[in-house]
Amino acid sequence: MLSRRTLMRALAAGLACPAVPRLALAGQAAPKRLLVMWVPNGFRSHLWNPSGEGAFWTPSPIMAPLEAIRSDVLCVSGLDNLPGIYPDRYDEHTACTRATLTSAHRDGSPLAANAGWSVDQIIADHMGQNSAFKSLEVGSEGPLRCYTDGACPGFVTISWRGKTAPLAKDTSVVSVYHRLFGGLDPSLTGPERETRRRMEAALLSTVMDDTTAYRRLGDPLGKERIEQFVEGVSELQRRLDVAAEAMACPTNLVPEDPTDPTASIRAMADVLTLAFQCDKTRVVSWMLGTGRSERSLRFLGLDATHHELSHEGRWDDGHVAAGQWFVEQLVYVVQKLASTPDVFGGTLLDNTTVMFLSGIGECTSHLPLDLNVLMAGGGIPSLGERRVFEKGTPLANLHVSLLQKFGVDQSTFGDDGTGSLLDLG
Amino acid sequence: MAERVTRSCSDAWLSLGPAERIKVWRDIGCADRAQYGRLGNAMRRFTIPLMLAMGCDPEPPVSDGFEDDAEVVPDQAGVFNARHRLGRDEIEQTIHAVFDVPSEVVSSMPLEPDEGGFRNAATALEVSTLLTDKLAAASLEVARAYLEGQQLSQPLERFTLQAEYFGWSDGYRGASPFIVPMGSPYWAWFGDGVHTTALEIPESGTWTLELNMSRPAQWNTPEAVVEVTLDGDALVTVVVQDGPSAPLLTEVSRTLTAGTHELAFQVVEGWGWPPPEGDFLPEQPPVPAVALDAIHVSGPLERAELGLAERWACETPETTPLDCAEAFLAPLAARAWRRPISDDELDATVALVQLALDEGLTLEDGLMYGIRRIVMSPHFLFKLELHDVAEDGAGQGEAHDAELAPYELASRLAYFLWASPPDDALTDCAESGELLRNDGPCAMGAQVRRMLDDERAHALADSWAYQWLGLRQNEDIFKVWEMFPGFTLPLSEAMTEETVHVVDHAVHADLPLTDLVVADWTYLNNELAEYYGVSLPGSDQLTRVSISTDQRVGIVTHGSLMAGTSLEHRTSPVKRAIWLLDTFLCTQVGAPPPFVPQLQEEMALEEGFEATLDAHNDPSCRACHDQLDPLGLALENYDPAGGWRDTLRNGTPIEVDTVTIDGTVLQHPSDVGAWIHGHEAFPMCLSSKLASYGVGVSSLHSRAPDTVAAIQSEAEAGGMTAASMIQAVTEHPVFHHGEVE
Repeated sequence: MLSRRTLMRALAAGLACPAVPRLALAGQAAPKRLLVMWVPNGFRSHLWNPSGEGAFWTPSPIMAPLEAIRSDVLCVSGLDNLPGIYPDRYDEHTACTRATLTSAHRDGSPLAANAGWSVDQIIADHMGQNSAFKSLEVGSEGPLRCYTDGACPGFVTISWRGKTAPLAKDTSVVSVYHRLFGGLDPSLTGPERETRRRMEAALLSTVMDDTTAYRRLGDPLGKERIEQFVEGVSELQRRLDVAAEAMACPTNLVPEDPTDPTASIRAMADVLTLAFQCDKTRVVSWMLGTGRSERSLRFLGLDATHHELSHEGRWDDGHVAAGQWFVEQLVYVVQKLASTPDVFGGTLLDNTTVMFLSGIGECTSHLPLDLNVLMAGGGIPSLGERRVFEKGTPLANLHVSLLQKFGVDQSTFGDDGTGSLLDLG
Repeated sequence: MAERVTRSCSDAWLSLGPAERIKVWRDIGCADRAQYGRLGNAMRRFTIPLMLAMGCDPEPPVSDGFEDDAEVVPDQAGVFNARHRLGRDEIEQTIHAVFDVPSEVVSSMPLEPDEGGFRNAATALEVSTLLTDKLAAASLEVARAYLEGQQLSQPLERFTLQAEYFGWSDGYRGASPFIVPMGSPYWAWFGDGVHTTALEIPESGTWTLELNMSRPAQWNTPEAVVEVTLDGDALVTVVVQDGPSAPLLTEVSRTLTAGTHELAFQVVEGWGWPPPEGDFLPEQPPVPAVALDAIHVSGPLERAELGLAERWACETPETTPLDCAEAFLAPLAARAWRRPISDDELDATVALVQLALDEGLTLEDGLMYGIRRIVMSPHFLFKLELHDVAEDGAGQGEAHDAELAPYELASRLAYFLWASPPDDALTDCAESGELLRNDGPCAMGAQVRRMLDDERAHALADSWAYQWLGLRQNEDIFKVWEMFPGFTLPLSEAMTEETVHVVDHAVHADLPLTDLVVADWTYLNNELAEYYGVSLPGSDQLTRVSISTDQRVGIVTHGSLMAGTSLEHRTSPVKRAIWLLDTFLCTQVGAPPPFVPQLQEEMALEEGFEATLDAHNDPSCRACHDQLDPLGLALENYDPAGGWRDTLRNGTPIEVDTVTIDGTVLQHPSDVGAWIHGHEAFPMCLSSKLASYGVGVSSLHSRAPDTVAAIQSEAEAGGMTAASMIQAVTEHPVFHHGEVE
């Protein structure tokens, strides 16, 4: 009888051959995966909000591209994320960006114990232990000059491990690929690899010992930084152990960082798909643009940056073109996951929850109100439908539902999450 | 718990083969490994459990190379604070200064977000798994490149004995009827009798010979056996198979003295006579059996370790490879960590080398892990901030407000002025403690003057001013080509360099930094001068020139800054003004309030901005826009690509005539620089920008206005020159203390 590891290796070698994997691991429980796709600057409500409810809803003009995958998508409407309303000193982009997945004020009092943690990170800690990367934070736009003192880390990330622990994102497809699929020299023989692995372990253990001298101190910021460093090193340690059992996953993908925005996003999507396929990670947060994105929209024929457009109240064509472009990226990803077999059986989409949202509702107002969240993936009920919630329903409650779907036993979240919104399967 | 190890035990370990060692290692449970991991001396962490697992009994200590330090106390070297770390650029500079190698990985590290314009503010210096991933990758890249650059293994001598000079087979050259796998132009054939050739060895030592032999496929015996002798002694016996497949390569090593030796070849079996059926005539000479390619000789192999031995006194009777590793790694660690390293820290580093050797890896491999440990350590990443350990030694140190220790101060000073680690002279001053004195060559003031004269002080322009002015936004700048065909990449780079050069000159010539905004000189090359429409300096290099036109007076008017604060196809007076107020007057203007739509694009392009800015007359807009619009509009003569223009795109003439919020009339773009120059907030803001960067906090003026005022007053007493401003910062207590809140 084949061991799981041998089987995985054999399967991995035949990644291009979808039939084999389906048969192979179909009996095993598939891992659950999460992919958050985040859109900066929000949308123009009257062009973004759909009409109707239940199975008979009409997608909005911006959602038109959804037609191709409509039966795979649940639209959750009417959610507010009040913690994203900016306090005095910080601008609304920062507040909305950092609150999207944390539902926490920068200085607010938390309901849940994990104050300021983003939902993806809680899930990653809960179930990411078996993959090489507990989570992966990526983005498709580089940093901006930040003028607002104290607010700047808030622009650049949606993933947080506490109120002062933003996770930097990787904005290079090439870099993401090499981190995922690099590793020990493949030309080494088995025993050589084992030797190297032991050396790496010893190296990391020595580095970890060095952190002791930093952990005794009371300075909160210093303490937080060293804890982040310790987490980073433990990730490397854990990865070393996981790598021993991981499937060999040879790929012939040549990663690139195209300058064209669409090509760049698709290149990232392809690498992320491969990451899921090879079980390198199970949790990904992906910023399609950076907070307050100033991405030039000339590639869509629009004479503005995305942030400028967001302030523009009288340019419907522009809003539809830009908004549709983001939705098209979701469609690409969902179709890609749906057409890629999962070695654990079914397709990748069957075992992945895709969450597509912006931190801002109506873009001209920059407020995190009346949000529409698009969900796709296995287990989600009422796919193809739209659920509209009462005004004032916290986005945080959807996060609670998400946590529960991933087995996190938690009924509150952030500053205003008081219970599960709906059963996500 | 047995914690002593004897030589006999270590010998036993060393005598094991790799497979046996792996087995022993596996037999040790995780719990035991963790337990040993807590032993004081990290060096023994690996060897002790392995040896104990082999069943070695504890014995009394012996002084045989394994130090007896079973009673190791916990590391009391200090309590460190991880508040500040090296930023991406500082990591790059530090690696450069210590290892002198480039690192591609470092340049792919995440760029810190800027806080108040600067990326070294404590609050922005987050640590993430992305950073630790990159640090691990960089450590590998750096270690490899560094070791390669050290040429620890001297290259071996190599030479070739060409087959055609053996003189055995001239008659057969090119005449063979057989298909021979011809790997080289000429093979020497032999069969009958003993064939010899001379081998000149230039230097005594172990030499390797590569013998490459082949044999035609059609031969009548399946294989030939060739005996090779050296000076009459058997060297190797080679069995050469038939066939046109790959020739048989035999490698053989022997210790040889310098001088002439004799190699002899004889086919002892499978001698090729009679020949197979074919076209041979009996009167032909015997057909050779085996073809021999050129012989490659390399050596002496002892050289591989010679580099290490000579430089680091390895393997002398008194020293071990570990002594060598220690001598090699200790200075690197001290430089990389910007402080002396403790014995425990060194032991932990050398332990990796020991482990590598135990694993059967080479000393060079071991050194690689030693270097990786130096680069991956928090001691490398975090800036040195020592803190007192509480009296009870329990290490409940508090973030203190005490004065920085000399090494911390040296480090802060070096990263401030050089964006690099301290050099030897500064380190010496820290070591002697004289950096804290008020006089002598090591006193702070003297060191600042010395360091400003050093070429590393270019970092003040390259790093401080680069961040202060926001020049990073020009790195990936893009302008619509159809509209600005002259805006090429070299031009854009020259623009950025213009600004950097101007600040650099001001620093080195010790000019008042406040005069930067009204300077009537700049740095241009021909291309940039032509773009600006001013007289050419006659050089492709940036050259210092006087400005003959009021179109380019002061750095505000630089193409770099005007292009950098514009969009790719049009200017944005509002963006320019926000940047200007933040950069020079430390005034932050918030983002537009919600529910205020931005300007109509088409309107802006067709009617000019002044018309559209009329929309700001709404009272809710005026609070901010009365500050912004006059400044932005006064700079409309600079087009989105930094060029000069007299009209807007729609042909409207640009006439500057605005009034700032303090009532100053602006009638020419150069009036903006003059207005800043005369503004009371400017010296304060400039002092804050310099001091914030120097101590690594964001916006010092809003956190500690009194501190900035004191620095400003010192700097003004010195005429606001570069040196006086820097002295004012470095002499102020804020620079000598750990915390700023």
